[in-house]
Amino acid sequence: MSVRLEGQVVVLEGDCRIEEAEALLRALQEAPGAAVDMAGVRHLHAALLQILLSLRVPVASLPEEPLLRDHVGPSLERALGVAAG
Amino acid sequence: MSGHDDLLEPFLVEARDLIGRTRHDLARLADAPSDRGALEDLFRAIHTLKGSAALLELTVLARLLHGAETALERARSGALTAESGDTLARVLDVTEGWTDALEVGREPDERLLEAAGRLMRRLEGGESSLEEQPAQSAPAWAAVLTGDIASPERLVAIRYRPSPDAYFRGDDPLAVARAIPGLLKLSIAAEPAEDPVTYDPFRCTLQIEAVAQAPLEDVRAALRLVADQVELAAVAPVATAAGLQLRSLHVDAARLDAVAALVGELVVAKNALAHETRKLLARTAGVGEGRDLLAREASLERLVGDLHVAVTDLRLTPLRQLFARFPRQVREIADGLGKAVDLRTSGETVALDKSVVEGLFEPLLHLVRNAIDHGVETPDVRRAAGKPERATISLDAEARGAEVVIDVADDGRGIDVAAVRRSAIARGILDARAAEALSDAAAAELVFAQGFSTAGAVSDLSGRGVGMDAVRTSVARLGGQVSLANRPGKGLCVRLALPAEVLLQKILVVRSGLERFGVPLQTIRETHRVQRLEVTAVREGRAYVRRDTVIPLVRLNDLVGASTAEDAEVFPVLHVGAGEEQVGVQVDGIEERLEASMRPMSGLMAGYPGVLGTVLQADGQVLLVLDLAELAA
Repeated sequence: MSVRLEGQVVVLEGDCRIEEAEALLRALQEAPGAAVDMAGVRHLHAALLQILLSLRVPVASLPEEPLLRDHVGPSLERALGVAAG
Repeated sequence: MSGHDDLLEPFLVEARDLIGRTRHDLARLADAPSDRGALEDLFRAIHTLKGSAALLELTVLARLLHGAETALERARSGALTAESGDTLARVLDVTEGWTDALEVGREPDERLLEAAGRLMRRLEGGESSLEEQPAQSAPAWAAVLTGDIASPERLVAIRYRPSPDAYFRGDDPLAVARAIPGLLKLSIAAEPAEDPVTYDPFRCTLQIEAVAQAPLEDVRAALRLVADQVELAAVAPVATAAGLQLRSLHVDAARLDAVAALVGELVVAKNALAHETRKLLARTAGVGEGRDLLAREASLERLVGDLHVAVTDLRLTPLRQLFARFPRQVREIADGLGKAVDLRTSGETVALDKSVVEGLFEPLLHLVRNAIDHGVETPDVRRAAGKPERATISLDAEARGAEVVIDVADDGRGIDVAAVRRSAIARGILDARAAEALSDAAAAELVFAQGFSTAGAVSDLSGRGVGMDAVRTSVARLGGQVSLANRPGKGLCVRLALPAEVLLQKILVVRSGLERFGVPLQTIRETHRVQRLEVTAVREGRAYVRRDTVIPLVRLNDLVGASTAEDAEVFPVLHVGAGEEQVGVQVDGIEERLEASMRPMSGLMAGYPGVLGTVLQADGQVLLVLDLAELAA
């Protein structure tokens, strides 16, 4: 299980596959306004990323993996910025 | 043009810089025609100039530069021929003339347009077509996407819109993006969810934009499985105003000056704090907290010093741009006088404070004009003297510790010392005996005396208005000094010695009556303590003797219009000036030395003779800094 809810934080870990998209969506529906902790993520399927982008989920921590850290993280921040503005 | 006014100024600054670089590169290539590095630098600079010209809709200039670029493209596969080098030098002349015209708000004149046309025909002589412009074909979205990326390489802009059923097809667009070679930039967006409860996570709404630094073919291959959802565009290296390959930033000089001024004030505040600390320590006899305060102050001092150095470095400007203005000047002046002159420069990378570099153009131009007009002989005279018909003028810069030395040398006739003596006598600067007594070197220095000119006939170019005295004065204003090395019949070398960094100057504070003045330490040869009894009357003036030299003596009080009660038994004298202009300036007291940033005079006071600038003191008072040699002249 690489999606779990800890209080107001959704924790993602390891290889997050498309099979986990519904679990992620459910977790976010259960805890509206929750942030996502991605520190342990190796790869994130685009469908999960799309959920985070569409629901404008704030990021609590980013993974070390370069593509996620350098490109996906800033993209998520931009999505939040659009919501704020 | 009117719509581009805000673009014009950065263009002019950039163009001057680039023209300077390209001239430098051409010189490198003249020595080593297949120097790859120089060829690449040259290509980039011309390409950038072309882009900027096109941006300003200077169509003819852009076409000319495009022609030059195409010629270089051909040379890239081999070497630059001397003929192409010559054509490129002329393209630069036209470009420079064009920017000069724009700078004063004029359109380029007929002569320039004609020259541009001629060069274009020469450049097109080959088979090349001016029409193919790959850079222009990139779509707007690609240009926007790559706009903020500094890369000398070709880029590929990628727009990837996965189809809505991508997830059902088994695609992972993020994994696809991960496979793009040379990925520089990736930006992913998705349609916002209207309601989390009804949100469909399996309908793909992603929009992905990316930039890759890789051959187009490689990018295409990596994306072949989603080719129907991808748009690709090759973008030529963008090198516009940002001067990309250097990773440099154009900052308005005024903003830099503002920062420098703030740092100057910080230094003053720090000095004031140091002053108070010392006072406090004197009271507490340096025990307990006083010592901690001293330690803190020492670290503050070091930090402020570092900051000062950092800001000073920001203002350092290489001489390249300044020197680059001279090839054309030399060509034009020499043509006007029917003389054949080559210009050689070295030390372009030596850097000086921006204000100094800017202030050097006029005096250097004057020296170069003088050299061509008065120094260099006509070709037939040179031939008769056994010299090459083409004269050589050189501008050489060299950093020597805290000083930068710039030599302006020619291989002309040098200063005719006898003529200088005659002229000085005729103008009443000296009497015949004094003139005879002068050494040849000292006599040559007479050209710096005010209102002096040795030219038999006043030519169109020099001798009018400004003379060597003006050169000396303007260099002094920059904190520098001028000296001569005269080799009669063989040439003249004028040496300008300038401070490498002008912000902090060592200043000696002297007293005249109740007033205090600053004198730059570097302008003082020595300080003497002179006894009243040593002073002898010489004609209307006074003088004293040091090491067998009679030094005229003047009172600072007289120079600044203060009154003198009676001379003390022994008084300090500042020995300033060189050669015939040396003089002892009697002051009422020498107070202290300080290191401070001097501001040049501005506004009404700018042209005030004898005043170099002002210094803000620790107590907030303004100190006038004097040029004693000029005051006493």
